[in-house]
Amino acid sequence: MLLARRSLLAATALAVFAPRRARAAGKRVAVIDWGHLETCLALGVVPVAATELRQYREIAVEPAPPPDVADIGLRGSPNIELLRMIAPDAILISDFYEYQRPLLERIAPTVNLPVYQPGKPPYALAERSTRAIGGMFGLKAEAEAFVAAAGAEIEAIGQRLGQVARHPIFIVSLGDSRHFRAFGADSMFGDVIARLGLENAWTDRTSYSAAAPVGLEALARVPEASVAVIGPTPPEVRRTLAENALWSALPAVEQGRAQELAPINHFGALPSALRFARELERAFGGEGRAG
Amino acid sequence: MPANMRLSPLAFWALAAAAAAVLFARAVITGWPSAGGVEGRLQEIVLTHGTLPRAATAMLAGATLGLSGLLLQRVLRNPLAEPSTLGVSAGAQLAMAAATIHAPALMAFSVGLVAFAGGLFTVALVLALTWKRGLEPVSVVLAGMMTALTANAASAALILANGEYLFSLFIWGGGSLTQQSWGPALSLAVALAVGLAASALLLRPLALLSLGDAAARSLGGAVSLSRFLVIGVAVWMATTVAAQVGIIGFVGLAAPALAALSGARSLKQRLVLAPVIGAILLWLTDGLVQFFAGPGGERVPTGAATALLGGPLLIWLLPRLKLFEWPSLAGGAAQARRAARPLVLLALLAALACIVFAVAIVAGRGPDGWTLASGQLLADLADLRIPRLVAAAGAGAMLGVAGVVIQRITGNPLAGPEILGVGMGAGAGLAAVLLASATAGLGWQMGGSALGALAVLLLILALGARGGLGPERLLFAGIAANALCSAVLTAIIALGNQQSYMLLQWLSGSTGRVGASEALAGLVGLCLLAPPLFLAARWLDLFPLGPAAARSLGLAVGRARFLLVACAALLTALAALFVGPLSFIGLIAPHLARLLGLGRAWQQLLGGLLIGAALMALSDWLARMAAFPYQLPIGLFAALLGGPYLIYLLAKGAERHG
Amino acid sequence: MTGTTGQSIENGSGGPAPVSASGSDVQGVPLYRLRGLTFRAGGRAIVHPIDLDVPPRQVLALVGPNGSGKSTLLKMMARQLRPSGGAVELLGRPVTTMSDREFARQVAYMPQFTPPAEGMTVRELVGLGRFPWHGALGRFGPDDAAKVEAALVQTDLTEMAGRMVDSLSGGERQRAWLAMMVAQDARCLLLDEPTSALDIAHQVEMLKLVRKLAGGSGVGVVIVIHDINMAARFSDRIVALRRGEVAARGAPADILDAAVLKRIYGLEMGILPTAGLPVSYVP
Repeated sequence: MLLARRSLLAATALAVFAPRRARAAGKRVAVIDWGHLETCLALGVVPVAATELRQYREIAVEPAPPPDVADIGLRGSPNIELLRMIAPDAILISDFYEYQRPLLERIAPTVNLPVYQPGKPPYALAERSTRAIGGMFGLKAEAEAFVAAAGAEIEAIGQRLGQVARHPIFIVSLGDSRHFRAFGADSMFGDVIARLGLENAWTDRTSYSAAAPVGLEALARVPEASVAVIGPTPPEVRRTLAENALWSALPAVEQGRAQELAPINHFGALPSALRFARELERAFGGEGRAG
Repeated sequence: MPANMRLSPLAFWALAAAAAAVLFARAVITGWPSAGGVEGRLQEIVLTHGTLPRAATAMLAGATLGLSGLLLQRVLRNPLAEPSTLGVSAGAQLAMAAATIHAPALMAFSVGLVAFAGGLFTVALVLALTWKRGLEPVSVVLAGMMTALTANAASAALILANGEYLFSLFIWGGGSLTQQSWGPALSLAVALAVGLAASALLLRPLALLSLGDAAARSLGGAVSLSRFLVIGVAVWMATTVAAQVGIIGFVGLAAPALAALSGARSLKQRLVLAPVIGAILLWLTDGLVQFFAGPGGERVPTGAATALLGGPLLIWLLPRLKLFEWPSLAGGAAQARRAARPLVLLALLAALACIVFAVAIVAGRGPDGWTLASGQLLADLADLRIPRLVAAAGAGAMLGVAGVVIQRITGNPLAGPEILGVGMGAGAGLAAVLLASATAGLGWQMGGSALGALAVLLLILALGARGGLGPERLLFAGIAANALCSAVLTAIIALGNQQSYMLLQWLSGSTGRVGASEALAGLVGLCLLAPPLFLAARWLDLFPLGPAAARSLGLAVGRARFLLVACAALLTALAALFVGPLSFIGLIAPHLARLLGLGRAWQQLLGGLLIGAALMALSDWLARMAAFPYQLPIGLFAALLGGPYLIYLLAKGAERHG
Repeated sequence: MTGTTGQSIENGSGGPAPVSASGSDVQGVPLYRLRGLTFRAGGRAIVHPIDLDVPPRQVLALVGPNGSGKSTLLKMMARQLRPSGGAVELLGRPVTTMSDREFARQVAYMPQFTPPAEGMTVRELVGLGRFPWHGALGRFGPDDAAKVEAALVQTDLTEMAGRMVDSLSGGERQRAWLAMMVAQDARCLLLDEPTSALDIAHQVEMLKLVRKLAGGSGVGVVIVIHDINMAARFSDRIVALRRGEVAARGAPADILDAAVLKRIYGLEMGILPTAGLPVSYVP
């Protein structure tokens, strides 16, 4: 069932642009950062190489990379030799991988497009990096259109959700059955929540997207809040959570306002933001009717 | 502290318990249901299903660890034995990580069982490794430390390769006592009850065991059976704690020792006092952790906090332990023959290293399978491969010579450069830099690591100076430094963010990001630090005679040790920057050199250097090729190469002496 | 310099001046001259102020019950332990003024427990005895090699020179260590219970060797030994300690006396007169 949903999502993911197989502007690009990989694919640019594709297909899911994209290994230590054999024209990184630059520069000119920077809401940065990628591949208009479409869709979703979802919302990922990580204002999810006009129930400091794991009892501090759980959730957690007295007693759980979303890249760019907004609508769109 | 107090020990512990109770009362009062409606009901649930079971879990886990530690120490006649030093916790963690990924059904069936299997396996391994040395305390702890480090590296590699799915393991590794039900407390209560019952039943055999095997046997004790029973029970208790709340370090070590220092003389007294002290320790620590927690959650997980507090405690405690009985050190190890022509042998080793080097540069996998590179591709690839090979081989060489030095100074063939703790110090430094900025450049990262290593080095030298840097002192200082730095690393890794991944990567060792300048820096370091060791080869020849004889031959033992340890530590730290804090290379290379018949210090140094370089270059190549295009951590690969060999070596002809 | 040191000890030792060593059996400058040598640990005196002269060409045996301080005394003489008070002079010079290697050229010390010295051949072990002469960087010259060979010959180890030390029996290993001390070419050998782990035949063999060294090359030997009869048989002079104080000193024949032995061991012991020295026994 999960699989069916995934493929459905994958099918609708690129509704904005039909995949453009042509290597735009003749540039063969290798992508280290998953956020940029999403953006490239969304704009119809198919990179020659990207990192951790196995994991990407599980966690980021869409836009799905075509099978001929070479997997160059872990994001933290990409396979430089393979990169050399593939010989891309450019390499895309983000701030997280800036330390790899000296090595990557030896293969091809390396471009750093930041999405996550301390203290800055990532959505605007993601828009900027989307335009920059558009500029790199001669797809300025497409990038502009994608940014606008994403913005418009998020606004539309916000309007629809705003009528039904009146509670502040926790956006969390569950580590085990006792702890969660909360996504704060400086995360992409937090930023999107704000753009949707919803209230983030987690108001404490976070750094780079998510706070350190905290006990589930922290959820009780805002009793009326809804809970959105970003997948994937480990199977044994899903099983034991039902037996957790505190979890079961949360109004959100009792009233069906605790929903699990499909897996979404935690450090994504616009496509992840969009995916998150759509997932949120799917999960909470019926809230008004339910409660 | 209890030993030099004017306060009686019982009063001291009563005070500590009172402090813990006050912290607990504060938590209860602040959490008391005050609001009405939904909010009040939630507050009530947090109190009854969170705060209360958390206190119970803290006390029960502390008591269980205290008892487990006491039993292990008793049965192994080793005051340093406890679940963490024996590698039980690390083994349990590895088993759980592996099961989470490869057999989730097993985890769903019983987490406790998986943890127990992992813990039991590591303990069995550690005991098998040291059986031949009569389970001599220092060797047991060394083997435990190595096993634990290896298991940690393997866990790190698993987490790295599987990313988000193992978020739970971060939390788990930090040891969090957060509760939402009474389940874990109940499981712990059962474990503690079984442990106490078993100890009561085995009280007599246990008392006999502390006399040593021979004496116990002559008094009619069924030595082996009771020994294994006790070990089994102790490991089960420790892994139950691990499965329920994660890794809690040092309570198992500290509680029995503090019980002894508080005046518990007889085994019966200690069986009561050690669990009580363990309970108080963990309860108090957890109370403090909660007290200092901000709204964004606890600053450090309780398990990491116990290790942070435990480090200094250990430094204070260790000199007070009656530690070294050194039974049957002359375990009659099968002796190596001597090479008839050491120079020829060394030349052969050098040739072998060159061959490994050449193969690693030319041969490799590409998108279309195996290739031998040539032409422009070779030139380009060589550009990429040579720096990391040089760095890897250089690190191997550094660890090889450092290992020779450490083994000769401590007179313990199970000692490796890792025992100095400087490698982990480098990690703590790196962690500090990454904590300040996740996007810190390589230069900053290297600088931070170097500073961390240097700080630990100074700590070791300061700690060890009083004892003239004798083997025990060195080991104490190393254990304490390793513990402290691991705690820092664990606390940061438990955050589960981007930095965690970078630290994990470093922990498991990666030469992937080495460029020409780093390789050159490593090479320069080797060229600066290794030659002095060769000049000091005659000192190293004297050390195996023991400090008294070496001194009587005119060697200024203290000063020589200081210089050699400093040199070895710098080499180790430098190597750790490239290949992480762990690899068995520093342990294996000197062994192999000796086994090949390179007995003189200069021969062993040179042999260790060449073998270390060749092994590490091979590890690097294998790490690149085994799961192409994914690069495995080189440190882990080196450990996988060296570990089984070490086990074989130590188990060979394993009759027990003494 | 020497005078003032002596002066301060006389004053510093307090109490009744310790009995001066009988000068009669010391010819010329003594190898060792100990004055008021004291050792304290944890506020307790392990060795009370002791005066002692060690002559060349003689074997001096230190005897006494367990905990009498004989090993501690020897360790202070070997500079293994720093004395709490008093002075040690070697050939008229305070040992504190000597560098480690300088001292090692004069004094060789064998600790009570000799480690197995794994992975070393006998010749290599003996060769280490030359360290005080060539140091860390000096050349191991033909002179050094000759001394090593001579030491091997003297200790009758030439045939097993190529064997690994850890493959030797206990007696052979002790001999190899002794050979190393011989190669050290020192004026004085300090041996801490070199026979404790040996059977009676090897004890005799070892002590004969020690005796021969003292006679032949003129070195002085101080040996800590448990067996009073063995001590009497192979030494020229015996100093007996009890509770850190000299309980008796003199020629073997003077010590093997029921009253003296009672003073040393606090035990009634009998004496069997024999053709040579008498033999003590526990009745």
